[in-house]
Amino acid sequence: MQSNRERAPRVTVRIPPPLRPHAGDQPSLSVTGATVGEVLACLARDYPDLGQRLLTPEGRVRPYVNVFVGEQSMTARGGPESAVADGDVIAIIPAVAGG
Amino acid sequence: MGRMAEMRLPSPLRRALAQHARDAWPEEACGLLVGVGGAPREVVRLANVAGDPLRRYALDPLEYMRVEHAAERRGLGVAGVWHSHPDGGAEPSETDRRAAWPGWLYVIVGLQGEGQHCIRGWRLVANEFVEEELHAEQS
Repeated sequence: MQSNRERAPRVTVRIPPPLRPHAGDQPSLSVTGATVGEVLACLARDYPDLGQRLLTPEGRVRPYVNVFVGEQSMTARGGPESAVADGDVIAIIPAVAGG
Repeated sequence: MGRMAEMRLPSPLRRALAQHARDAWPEEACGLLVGVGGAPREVVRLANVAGDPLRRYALDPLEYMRVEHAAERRGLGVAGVWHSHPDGGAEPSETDRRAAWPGWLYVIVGLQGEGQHCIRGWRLVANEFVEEELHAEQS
């Protein structure tokens, strides 16, 4: 019998350069999850240091991180509950700003 | 005290940075540095989408993503971030420090009137900016 995780879509998550040291220095990772939120939670389980930088202790995406599925922001798709499909590319984008 | 770290910033890139800063004045100009192994080879100017572009800069995340992906398809990468201070020095502000990511080179162009400018490089180390000496040519 397959677990939920085994049946879940497999997506590619692109990691921006400043966060790669917390993701085994890899530019992208293959992760499973049915929604954007599940994908990020899976990532946080596998790479806890990365997870701390992406998610609050309550599991919300931190304000200085943007998440895109393809070229659409997670927010525009309906937030972390939005579904993902096999082969989707999720990009983690650092907020770049200053004064 | 240790020797200041060094980074090559070729003259054409310096000229491009200064020109972008002047073109955007009195607003802040901003963008990315694309290169290899952390060394900048190209200056990419992007829109400043900050609410107060006279005093702040912010990149559109979608534009950031497109530059990063295009660079990596060419075997390059995002080596850093640049922005201008339209009427000031090239030292990072407290706002710059709070928003900075470790690992990247942050280049600041300070415009100082009469066509004068100053370009300096910084990197966040242990949550503080440490200056890197920018050389026009390979040292």
